[in-house]
Amino acid sequence: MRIRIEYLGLSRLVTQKKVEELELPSGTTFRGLIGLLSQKYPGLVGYVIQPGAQELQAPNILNVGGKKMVRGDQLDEPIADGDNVILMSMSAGG
Amino acid sequence: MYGYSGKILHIDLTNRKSWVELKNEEWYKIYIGGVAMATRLCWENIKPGCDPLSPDNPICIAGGLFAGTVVPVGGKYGLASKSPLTGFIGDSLSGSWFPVALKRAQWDGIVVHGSSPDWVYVFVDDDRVEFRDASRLLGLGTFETEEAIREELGDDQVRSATIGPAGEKLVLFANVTNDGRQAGRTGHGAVWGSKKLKALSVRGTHGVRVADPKTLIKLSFDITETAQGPFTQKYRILGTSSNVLNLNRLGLLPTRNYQQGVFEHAELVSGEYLYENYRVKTIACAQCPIACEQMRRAKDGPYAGAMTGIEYECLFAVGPNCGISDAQAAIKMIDICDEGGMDAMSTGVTISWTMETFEKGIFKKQDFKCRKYPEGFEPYFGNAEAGVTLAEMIRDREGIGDLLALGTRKASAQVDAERGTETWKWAMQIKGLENPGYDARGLKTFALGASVVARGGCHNRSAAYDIDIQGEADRFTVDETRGWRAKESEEYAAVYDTLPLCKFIRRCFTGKADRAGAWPAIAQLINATTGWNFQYEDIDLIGERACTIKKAFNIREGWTRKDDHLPWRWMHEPMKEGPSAGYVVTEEELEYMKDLYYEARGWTKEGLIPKDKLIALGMPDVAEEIGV
Repeated sequence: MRIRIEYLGLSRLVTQKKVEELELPSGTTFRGLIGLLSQKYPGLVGYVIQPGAQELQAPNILNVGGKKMVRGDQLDEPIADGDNVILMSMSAGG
Repeated sequence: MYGYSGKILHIDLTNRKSWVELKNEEWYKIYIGGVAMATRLCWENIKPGCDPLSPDNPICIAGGLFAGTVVPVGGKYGLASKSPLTGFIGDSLSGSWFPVALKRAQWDGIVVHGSSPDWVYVFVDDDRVEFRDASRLLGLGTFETEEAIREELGDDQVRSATIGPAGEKLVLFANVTNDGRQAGRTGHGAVWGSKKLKALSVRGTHGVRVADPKTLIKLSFDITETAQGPFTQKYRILGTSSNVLNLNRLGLLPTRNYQQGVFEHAELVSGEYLYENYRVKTIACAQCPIACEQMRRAKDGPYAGAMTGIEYECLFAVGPNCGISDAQAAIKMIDICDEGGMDAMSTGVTISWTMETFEKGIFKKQDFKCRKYPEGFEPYFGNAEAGVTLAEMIRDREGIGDLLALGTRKASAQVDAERGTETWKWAMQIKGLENPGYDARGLKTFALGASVVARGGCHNRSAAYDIDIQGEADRFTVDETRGWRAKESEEYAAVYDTLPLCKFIRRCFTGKADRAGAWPAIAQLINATTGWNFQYEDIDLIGERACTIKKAFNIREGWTRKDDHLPWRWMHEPMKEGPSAGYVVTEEELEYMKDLYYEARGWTKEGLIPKDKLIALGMPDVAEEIGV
C-alpha cells in the first residue's frame, strides 16, 4: 500500500523533507511506521522517536488527515492505503 | 518562615508614601504566589466597582515561591488589577530577572495605590522606596526605558518593569514589560499609565532562605537535566511558533479574522520558515534551562532590522489572522508591539477586525488618514504595510488608532452605535479580551474552557485545548465529560500560574505531564522550599483556590452567567474548509457544557459560589461578601 507522510517541526528539520510517499506492506501499523522511520532517518531517534523505535517521544504525535490524533493506545492499529499521515507535535503555549 | 519574607510592600503614588503589611503563614498556604496571590491582593485592596483607570484600582504584584532559588523555571511573578478591557480580573504572568530582584529585596508582593500627579518611576532599593521623576523617560520604548533607568541609577543589576508609549497613551491592551518579557494580556500598561507610573525598578541584595537546601538542589538538578532533553527540544529550536503548521493542518489556525481555519500561505509565516530564514539567537529567562524565546530579525525590504522574540500567539494574530504572509512584516508588527508596550495578540486581532470591517465596506479608505498616508490607505486582508501602519497608529492613538486602542469589543460597539452596523458579530473576543490562536469550533472542550475562564479569551488560563488536540475527547462533539475536563484543565494550569512555574517544564518531572506525573515532584519542591508538608491533594487545592478567588473577584464586579460567552462567529458561522469544516459551537452545546462545568465546580446553576464551598477552601471573608 501507499501512504503520504508530512513532516512538521523537528521531524522536518531532521528529514529535510516536507512530505514524501512511502510504499508499505499491507497491514503496517503506526508502530511499524515509527520503526521504519527510525531506520530511514536515524536522526529522528532521541528527540522525535524514543530509543527502541516503538513509540514517539512526547510531545511528538501522529495524526491522520488532520482529524484523527493517534494516541499511544492506538499505535497497533493498521494504517489504511492512501492515508495522509502527519508527524507533528502537540500544540502548546505561545 | 522559609521561602517567603512575610512582607507586602504598599506604595501610595498619590501621597508618595509607603508602608509594610505583614502576612501570616496560613495566608501564604492558601494563596502561594503568582496569579492567585496577586488576585487576592487585588481583592483586598481594590474599591469594588471602581473604574479600572481610576486611582482606586491597585496594581498588585505577587512574587514567585521559587524565584531566586535554584528551582528551574521558577523566576516568574503575577500581576493583577481590574482590567480596563474586560472590567473583570486582569491577571498576567511574566518571568526572568525582575521577580528574582523582587525576591532578593525581600518582598513577597507589592501593591501600588492611588495616582501620581506627575510621571514617576518608583525605585525599590531593598527596603527603601524612592519616587523619581520619569518625565525624561516619556516616549521611550519598553526596552529603552529599562536601559535608561539602569544608566540613571548607575547599576546594571537594577531590574525594571516598564510601560511603553502605548501605556502612556492608555491603549486599553497596553502591557508591562520586564527583561524583554511581557505581562502581556488584559491591559496592565493602561492601568500603570493611568497612574502616571512609567516603571517599577527593583534592586535586591539579599539571599532567599529555604527550608531544605540540600534536597532542593538535588531535585532541581534532576529536573534541569531532564529539561534540557527531548521533552523541550522543540521549544529550544523552533519555539512556540512551530504551532502555526500544526494548527493549520488541523484546520484550527485563525485566518482572516477567524473566518477560516486554514491559511494557504501558512508555510511562509511558520516557525520552520522563520528558523531557516530569520533566526538570530535563542534567549532564556532567568532560572530557565529550556530557553524557548526565539529572536528573529527582518533582514531586507522595508522592515529590515526589526527584531524581537516571536511567539506563536503573537505570530498567528498579526500573520494568518490578518491574511499577512510576509514574515518580515509580521516580525515588524510584533516588534512595534513589544517596544511600544502593547499586547500583540489583542493588537493583531483588533487589526483583523478592522480589515474585515473595511472589506465589508463599513470602513472607507478615508477613515485611515494619518501622517504617513494623508489620503488614507486600504487595509484589506494581506496588506502587510497596512498592518504595520495600523500597529503604529494604535500605539500612538493616531487617527483611527484612537478608536482601535479600545479593543474589539468597545471599538465595535462604538462603530455600531454611530453607523447602525453589526460589526460586533466579528469582534473576536470573550469578556472583552481578544481571542487566542485556537479556533474553538473544532475544539469543543476548549470552547467551554475559553468561555468560562475569569480573564476572558485566553489559551493560558484554560489548557482545555490539550484534551481536544491529544484526542482524549472527540474535539468535534460535546458529551457529559466536558464539565469536569474543563474544570480540571483550568485548575491544572492554575497550579503552574500560581507557584508560578513555566508550563513548558510540565513533562520534565517524570516524563508525563498529567497530575500524577507532576504533582508529587511539585509537592517536594514546595516542601523543600518552605518546610511545609504539602501532599498531592494540596497541589490540587492550589489550582482550585486560584480559580475560585478569580471568579469571586468577578462576581463582586458584577459577573453573571451570560458573561461566559463565545464570539458570535464561533456560534453561527461554520468554517468552510479544512478538517474542521462544518462545525460551530451551538447555543445548546455551550449552555449544556456550562451547566456541566458549574456543577463540576460545586457552584450554582447560575455560576455563583456557595458559602460553604468558600469556607471549605479557607476563604471565609470571601464567603461573607459573595457566597450564596
